Amino acid sequence: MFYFALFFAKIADWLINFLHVGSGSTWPGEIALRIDPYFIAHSLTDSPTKIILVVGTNGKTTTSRLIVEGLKKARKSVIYNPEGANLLNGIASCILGAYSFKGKVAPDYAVFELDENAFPRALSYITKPYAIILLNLFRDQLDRYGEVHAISTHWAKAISCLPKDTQYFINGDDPRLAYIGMRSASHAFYFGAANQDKQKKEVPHDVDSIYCPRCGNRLEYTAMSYSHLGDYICTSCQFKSPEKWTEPIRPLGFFTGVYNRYNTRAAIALLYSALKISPTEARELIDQVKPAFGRQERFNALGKKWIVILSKNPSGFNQSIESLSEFLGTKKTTICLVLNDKIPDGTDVSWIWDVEFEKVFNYANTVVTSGDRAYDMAIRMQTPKNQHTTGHAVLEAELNLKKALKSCVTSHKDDSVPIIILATYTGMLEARRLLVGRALL
Amino acid sequence: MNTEKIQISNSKFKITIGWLYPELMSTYGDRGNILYFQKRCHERDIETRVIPIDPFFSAGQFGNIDFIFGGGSQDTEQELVMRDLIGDKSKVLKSKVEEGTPALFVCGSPQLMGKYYEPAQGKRIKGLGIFDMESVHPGFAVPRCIGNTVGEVYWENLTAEKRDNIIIGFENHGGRTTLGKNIKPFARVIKGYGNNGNDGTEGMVYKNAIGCYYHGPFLPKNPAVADFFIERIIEVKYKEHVKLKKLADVYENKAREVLLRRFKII
Repeated sequence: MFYFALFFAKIADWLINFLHVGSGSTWPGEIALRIDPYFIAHSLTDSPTKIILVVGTNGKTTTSRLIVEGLKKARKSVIYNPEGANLLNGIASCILGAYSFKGKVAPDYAVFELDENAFPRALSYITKPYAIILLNLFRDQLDRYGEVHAISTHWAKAISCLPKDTQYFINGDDPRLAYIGMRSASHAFYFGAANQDKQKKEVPHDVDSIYCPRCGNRLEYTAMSYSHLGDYICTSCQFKSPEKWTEPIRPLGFFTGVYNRYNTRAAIALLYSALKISPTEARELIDQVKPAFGRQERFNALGKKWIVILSKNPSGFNQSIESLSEFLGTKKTTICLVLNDKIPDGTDVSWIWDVEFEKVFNYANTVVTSGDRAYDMAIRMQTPKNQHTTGHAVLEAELNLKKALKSCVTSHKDDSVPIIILATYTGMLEARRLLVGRALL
Repeated sequence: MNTEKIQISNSKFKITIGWLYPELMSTYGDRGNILYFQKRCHERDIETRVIPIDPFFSAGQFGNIDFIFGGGSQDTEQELVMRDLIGDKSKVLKSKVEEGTPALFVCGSPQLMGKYYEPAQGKRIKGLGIFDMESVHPGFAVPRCIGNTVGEVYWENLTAEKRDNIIIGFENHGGRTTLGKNIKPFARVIKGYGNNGNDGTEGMVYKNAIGCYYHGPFLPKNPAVADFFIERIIEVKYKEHVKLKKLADVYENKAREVLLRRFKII
C-alpha cells in the first residue's frame, strides 16, 4: 500500500511541478495520505533522518526558517515544509519531495512546522522525533483552534506517549508550556528572554495564562516580556519558572522585536545542541538570514520603502506594534492596518479589541485602515483606551486595498522612514501582490 | 484594567461601570464594549469610571454600580469565577438586577445568570438563577454555533422607544439555551443560530438586563444598543428622561452597511 501511495502521489507531484500549477502544493501529500493513511509513519520507518518539530501560536515560520538555514550553512541536508503547508498533507508532500523515482534519499534533518491542532495528530505518525520546539501558546482564532487550555491539554497528552530520549526546547517563560515540559519531558531545555527584554511594568491585557496551570491560583510575576511570558511563581503551590537559558545573545540584523529574539533563541538552542557547537557559533550560522515573506519583509515599491509585518492575533499584533520603535526610532510614518476576515485570517475579528492599538499613534502621523473589515478597524482606532490620547494622526478607512496603498503613498512625507503595513494573513498576501507584483501561493 | 476615571468638568451625569472579572471573563475582545460605551458617554459629556468586580471587590461595593457588564470566559476561567462569586456577591448581584440596574451580558456570561449550565463533560454547573432559563451543551459531537449573526431587537420587551432594531455580531458557543416563562427574548434571529438553533430567539431580556450569545465587541457594532443603555442608566439613576445628542457614526454606519450587504439583508 505504501509503495502504491508513493508511486501515485509522486506522479501527481511530478505533474504539478511539470505543469507549474502551484509549487509547494499540499495535493501530492493529500493523495498519498488518502491511499495510505500511514504514509508518513511508513516513509519514516528506519529512516536515519532527524526530525525537528516546531509548534506554537506565533513564530513557527521564522524559527523553522532560522533552523533550516543554520543547518544548511553547516552543510547538512535538510527538508522542510513550506509555511502555509503546516498540516499533515503538507508534511506528506514534503516527504514525497525527498524521494526520487529511483528510491529514497535520506536527508540529515527534516524540519516541520506544525499547526496547533495538527501537532498532536502528527505525533501518532512521527513517533520518534529527534526534537520538539514549543514556542508559545496564545489565543488565536478561537473559531478554529478552540481554547488555549484545551490545546495545551492535547499537546501534553500527545507528548507523554513519545520515547524518553526525545529532546525538548521549551519557552520556559510561558507557564503552560513549562508545565507541559515539567510533567511530560525527560530531556527539556528551557529558554527565556534576556533580562533587558523583560521590562513590562504591568500585566498586559492580552494574557491567557496568568493563572497557575497546576492549582489555578493567580501567578506572581517578577518580570514580564510580553503577553503572559516572563518569570513567575505560584505562591500557593510553589509552581515556578524552570531554570532557563537567558544569557543575552547578539540580535540578528534582519529580525526586530522581542518576539523575534525568542524565535532566534529557540533556533540557536536547537542548533548548538544538535551540531554540538557553542551558542556563538550557532548564532554565526544564521547571522545573514532574511525574514520569510511578509514577516518584517522590506522592499521598495511606488517610489517608497515599505515594511510588511504579518500580524494575526492579539499577542502577535501587540508585538508588531512594540517592534515599530526599533524601525522608526522617534520618527513617525504612515501606517496601514489591513484587516481581512477570510478563513485563513479567522472569520471573527473581535480580537482587534484586545490589541493595544492606541500605541500605533506613537508611530503614525497617518493611519489608513483597509481590508474586508476596514471600518471595524477604523472604529477601533477611534476608540482608544484613554480618551485624551487619540493622537493627532489622520485616520482614513478604505475598503479597497489598492486605493488604500495609494493613499499611503500620497500621505507619506518622511522618506527616511518606511511605510509600514500591519496585516492579517490574506491582507499581507494581497498587499505583497499589489506592491511587489506577484502572487506567492 | 484598573479603576479609571475620565474627568470632565461640569458633567452632570456620572456612570460607574462594574465589569465582571475583566481578567477571567475577557475571551475575545469583550473589553471593546467597555471602551466603546465610555467613548459614547464621553462624547455626551457624561463622566464614566470602571470598577472591576473581581476577587478584590466586596459585595458592599455593589451599591455604587450603575451598569454591569459581563464578557465571555473559557471553561477553566468560568470555574474560577464561580468559585469567587458564590455567597454574598451573587446575592447582591441578583438583587441589583432585580432592582432594575441595567446590565449587559455577552457570550458565555448569560449562562452563568441562568438556572444551570450542563457542560459537555462533567457536572451540571449551578447558575445564579437571575434569568429563568436553562443551558445545555449537547456534546462535542454536535457542531458549535459559530459565525456572523444578524438579529432584530424586540425593543418593546425593554419598554424602550423605537430605534435602530438591527443588531450585528458574531457567535461562537457550544451550549444551547431555552428560555423559561419569566424571561423574554432580546431579538429575533435573522442570520445565525441564536439561543438554541431552533426557536429563532436570540438572547434574553429581564428587567433592564440584556443577555446575548453575540460575543466580543457587541456595542461597537451596535451603537443604538449602547445609546439605549446610556439613556436607561440615566433614567434609573437620576430619574430623568434624556434624549442623547446624536453622533455622526460615520464608520459605524459604513461597517454595518458592508456586512448587511454581504449577507444580502439590504
